Amino acid sequence: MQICSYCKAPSISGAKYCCQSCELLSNWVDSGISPLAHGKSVSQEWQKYNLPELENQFNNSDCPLYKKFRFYIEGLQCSSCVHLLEDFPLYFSGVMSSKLNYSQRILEVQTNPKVRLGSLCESIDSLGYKPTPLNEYTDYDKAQQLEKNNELKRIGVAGAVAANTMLFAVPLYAGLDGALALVFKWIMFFTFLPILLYSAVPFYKKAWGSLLIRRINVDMMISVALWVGFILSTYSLALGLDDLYFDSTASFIFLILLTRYFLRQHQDRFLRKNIFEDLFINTAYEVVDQNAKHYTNFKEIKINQEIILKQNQLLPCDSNLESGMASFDLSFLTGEVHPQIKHAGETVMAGSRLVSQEAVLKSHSLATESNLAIALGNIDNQSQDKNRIQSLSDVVSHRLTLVVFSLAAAFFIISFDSLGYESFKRSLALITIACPCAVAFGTPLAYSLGLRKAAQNGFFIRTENVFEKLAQIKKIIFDKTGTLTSSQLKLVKNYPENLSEESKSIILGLEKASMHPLALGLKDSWSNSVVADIKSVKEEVGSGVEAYYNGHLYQLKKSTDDSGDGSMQADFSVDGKRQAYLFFNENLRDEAKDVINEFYKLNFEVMMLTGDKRNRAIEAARMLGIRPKYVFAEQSSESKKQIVEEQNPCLFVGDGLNDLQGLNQAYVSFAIRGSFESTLQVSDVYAPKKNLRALLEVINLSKKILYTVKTNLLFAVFYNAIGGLLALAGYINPLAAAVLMPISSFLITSHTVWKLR
Amino acid sequence: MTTIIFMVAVALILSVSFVFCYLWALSAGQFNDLETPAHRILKDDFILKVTERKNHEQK
Repeated sequence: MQICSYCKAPSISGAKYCCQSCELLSNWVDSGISPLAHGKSVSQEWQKYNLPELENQFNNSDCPLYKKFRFYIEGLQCSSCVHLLEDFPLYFSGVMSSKLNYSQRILEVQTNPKVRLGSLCESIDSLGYKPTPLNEYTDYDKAQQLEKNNELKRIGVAGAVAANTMLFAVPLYAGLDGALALVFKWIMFFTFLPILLYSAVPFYKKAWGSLLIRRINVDMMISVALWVGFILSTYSLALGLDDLYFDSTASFIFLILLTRYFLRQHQDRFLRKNIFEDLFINTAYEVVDQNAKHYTNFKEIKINQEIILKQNQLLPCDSNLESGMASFDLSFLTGEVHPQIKHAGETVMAGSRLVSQEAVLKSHSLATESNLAIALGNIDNQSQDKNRIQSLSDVVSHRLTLVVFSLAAAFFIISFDSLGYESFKRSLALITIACPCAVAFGTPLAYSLGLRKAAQNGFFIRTENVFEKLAQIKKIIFDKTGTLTSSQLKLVKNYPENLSEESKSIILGLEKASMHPLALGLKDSWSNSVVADIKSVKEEVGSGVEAYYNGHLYQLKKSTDDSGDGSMQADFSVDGKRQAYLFFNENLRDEAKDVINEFYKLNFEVMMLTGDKRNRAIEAARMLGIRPKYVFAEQSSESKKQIVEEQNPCLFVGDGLNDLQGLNQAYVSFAIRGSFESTLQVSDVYAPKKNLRALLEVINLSKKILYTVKTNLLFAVFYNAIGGLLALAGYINPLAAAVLMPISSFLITSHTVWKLR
Repeated sequence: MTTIIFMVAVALILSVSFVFCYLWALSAGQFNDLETPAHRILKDDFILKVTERKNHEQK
């Protein structure tokens, strides 16, 4: 195998260098060529970040003497990438420091005030990475970091306590007696206190929280077992008896804290983010202020201000159209593929994307007060409540707690006369021993392994209870546009069939600048043809395009729309004479039909929900094998929400922010597209690099996880029943507890890891 | 007997001091990023190379 001549790692492609950063570094070190001099060409996109209004949104520094930016970097591969990016100050003048966090893929750059964000992005891009500027740390990020640190502190303390109590317990088990034994016992008592008063605090908080809503959860069981163990041990210590459970209780708490930490680690990366800001923060909007045009960011747009919206920009405020006709893509709001025509004076809602050339609009709301912003704000609040479900482990621990406590109480009452103190001791031993390890840490362990496995396979799962919820679902609702179909149209056939290359190139030239779904479809189908260089194309909104080229008038006009089967026809004419017909249809995803068939095999009810016209929806449903009675077409986002609500519990599959309402309302939601953080706010599963087959993978994975969890629970109930009986019969002493509890923990851990390996 | 008492005291002091070391390291941010330093450490000889080359050019 070829070895990279810079970093000496195996070069998979067989090239001289394993990656671009190695090549750039090698050139720099050996021949003194600055990495920026040899970079690839970059897109013009970054220029807009040089605008102060846009840049300020990303500058995290309060001090005017320097600027501070954070980027999410895509394309990191090896150590050379770390070196290249961290040596930024050496070859980019003005950069004061540059620090990369490789695991989080975040680069922090501090520069002097002259450096512009746009040129910074350009240079990072030219090095071969894709930077995404991040705006300020939110309070939530900081709080999360703090909480993580606190958790680690608690685990560290619990670990030290568990190890040390165990150290002093061993001589006692081995038969140590006399004054030294008493000293050891008191040392155990004092070393145990940090766990009781510090490490276990989260358990008390959660137990108290669930008590307030009158529910019993697993944390209550743990808290009770912990305190019972402590009281029993202290009591017998004071009486000079041998029943000390400090060591087994401490190691038990340590194990639970540890597994919970790992589970949280897998969820932590899905930070809360402002979805609304995410949509507009990267665009510079041109506005008119006292007859002068200038660029600004979306927050600065005032009411009654004129916005000059560019092609393909997303409108930030609810506005009135001032210039003549313009066509807007509302798929973001409604899911309809075909652009809608708006006339002067009509209202256009925030979130509409301009398809035609430049248009002038007058805002009548602030960006932060548009209907879209309000709707998104509501979603933020709702999604926090959504995670509260009665999970399987809660149900099991609820029942176990009831059974164990009533058993202990009954035993105490019945046997107190005959056994005395022994009766008290045995009932408390029962409570300590019966605390179900499987619920306390087998379940979080299984879930965290499941989340990791999911992330390895390319999908991100927001909360672990998705696994449980997925198993209960028998209905699946697909969004049509963007999920079952791609948002562009597909060229189905053209007449005459052997269209000349020249005509193709002229048609492509006509559609060169257009963002219409039809134009996108053409560019896709004829990607090999040359694009004719046609200037001054006249676009007539809603009807088509025309242009003079080499002395002829070329036109591409829409001739029929909504012909009943969802297809669309466009005519190509030269000097007013029709030369060719082009037929378009919606572009179904290749795997959609197979996936839907698989769901029928799994006995799912398959439904389709769309804002699109009924005939188009029915046609797509027919091709995919979805029954017409389960097609809900022409739905507004409000009625989509209602339908999803009625069908709950269901799995809703959408393509990201487009289907916010549905995603948010569904019992379980699955997004196959959309920007990373915002989409995860509203959807439970997010598979950005996958096709629809990922759905089947997730369902299989959750079945497997749930099976493991259930086996664990069954085993724990069985094991604890035996342990409990032994405790009541008086066979459980501290030594037996110290042996029995780790064995069950070990069995459950190894079973889980083996099943989900 | 006194030896054992002494050893026990030493063990306790050691364990407490280790816990404090850990808590200090944690609050100093040593566990915030576990991956990058491993890459960063490979860089030293590289900076050396650049300065060597610069020195060479100056001569």
